[in-house]
Amino acid sequence: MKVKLLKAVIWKESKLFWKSTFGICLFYIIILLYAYIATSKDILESGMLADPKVFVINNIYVMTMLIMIMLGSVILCQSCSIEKKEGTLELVLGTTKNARYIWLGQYFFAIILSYLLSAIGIIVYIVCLRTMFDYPIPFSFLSIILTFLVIPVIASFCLSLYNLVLWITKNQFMQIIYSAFPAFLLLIAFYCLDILQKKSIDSYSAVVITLSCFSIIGIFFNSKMIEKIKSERFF
Amino acid sequence: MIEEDKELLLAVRNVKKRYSDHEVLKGISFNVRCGDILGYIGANGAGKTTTIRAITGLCSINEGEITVNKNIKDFKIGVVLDKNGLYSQLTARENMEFYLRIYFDYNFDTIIDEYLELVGLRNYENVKVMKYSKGMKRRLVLARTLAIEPNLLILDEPFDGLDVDSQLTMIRCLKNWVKKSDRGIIYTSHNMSEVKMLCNRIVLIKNGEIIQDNLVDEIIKDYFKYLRIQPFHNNTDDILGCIKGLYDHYIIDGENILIYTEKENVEEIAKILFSRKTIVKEFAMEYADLNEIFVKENSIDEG
Repeated sequence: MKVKLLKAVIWKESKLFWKSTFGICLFYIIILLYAYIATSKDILESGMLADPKVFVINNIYVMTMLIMIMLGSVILCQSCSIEKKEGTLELVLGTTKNARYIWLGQYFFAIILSYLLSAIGIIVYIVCLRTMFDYPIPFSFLSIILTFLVIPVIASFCLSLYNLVLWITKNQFMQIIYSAFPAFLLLIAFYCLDILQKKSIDSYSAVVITLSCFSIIGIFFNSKMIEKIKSERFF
Repeated sequence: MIEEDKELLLAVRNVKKRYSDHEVLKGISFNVRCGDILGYIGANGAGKTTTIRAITGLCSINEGEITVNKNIKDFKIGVVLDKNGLYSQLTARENMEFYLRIYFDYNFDTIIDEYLELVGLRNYENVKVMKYSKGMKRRLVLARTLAIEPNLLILDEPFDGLDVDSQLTMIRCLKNWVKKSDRGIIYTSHNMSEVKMLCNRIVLIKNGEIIQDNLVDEIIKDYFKYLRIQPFHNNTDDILGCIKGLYDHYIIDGENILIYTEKENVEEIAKILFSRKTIVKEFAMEYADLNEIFVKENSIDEG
């Protein structure tokens, strides 16, 4: 029943997403891409950069992180808000008695969708650079791994923290924290990015592996935490 | 007598629940067996909702245990709470499909069609729930809960907002539903006429303690009100003459004499009337209805 519950929650989240959060996410992506492409154009054309490839690849890293965390936060926040407002979480928990898989269902949906949207955003950005400015794609094998694997894993960990916070805080005052928390997560994420960029190639793989493992363990730990918390905490 | 031979579905044993400033449940115990429609009644604040939440795992308990029958494969609990728990952005069909997907892999459409038809919402299946009336939402909640084929159905004021016809339809539906194997219902309501129509057993909770747990008819027998005698051909004076000096607490209510006495004295009165060859048209023991029992039990402390 656990797997069915997970799939059912993901199915439900997808239905709700198209009816409520889709517009906001689309708007966000379009604005972000426009801002990135417009600023990239100006900076690249100015000729002031010593190494334009580094600039573009950093943009891609940051964009991946931004899209995943910001969109993921929006999706999770909306999802949690609907559950608490409609009283549906109480009912599903009372029937299934499995908070962890409900939490995981919401979380996986947010991760999958934000990952897909970030991948689409990056592809659009690269295609625009190529077609509009005839700028070559600056990807190496390492940058592909970072863009499509490591950074999403770090972002996923941050979102798991956020989902945990959303579930366990009930206080109206915490609405302010909900708004600020994604920004805090971005700070963590950018700090990780900074570590990656400052390391020499020899210690790069060690740092990448450490950060990835830490993130995966963190995600697992957060999902386990939900099981340990008493159900009355969620309402 | 409660039928102990029926299979046990749920056992609540000495459950205690304490919040920081007071004890809400003070060691309650009861069982739900197959075929039971248990009316769980009590005043506001008695502990009904806390009990329901403890059974469904929505609140923890400090002591005691709550166990379900582990011999029943895939034991399911269906819950209807005071909040509808419907996704207002989704249609009726989508709301039902979500719950069915938790338990089943296929045949959603057939099951959804069947239960929407049962509650009379088939024509509104693709309308968003936000456009439903209160009664329609309640019917959808019932359909959704029954569709997952639970073993234990917990209903908290399920008919709130339904018209009388719909209530009667749902009561009939639930009575038929519970007859199938491995099923039982816990039903809470403040409407005693619903409880009387639907339930075969009552558990009465007061201030966190269970004060009655028996079949409806057995409970009512403990609340004898008065003896009602309808005289035959205006022989009221003869009847009163028989009991004068022995049972003087009575009133004349239209055609009837209502004698307020202990239940044990009824046989004695019957013997007196028989020995004096006094004919009566009707000789009936009247008991309190559930409403009166409920009011009486909850007002005893208030004196």
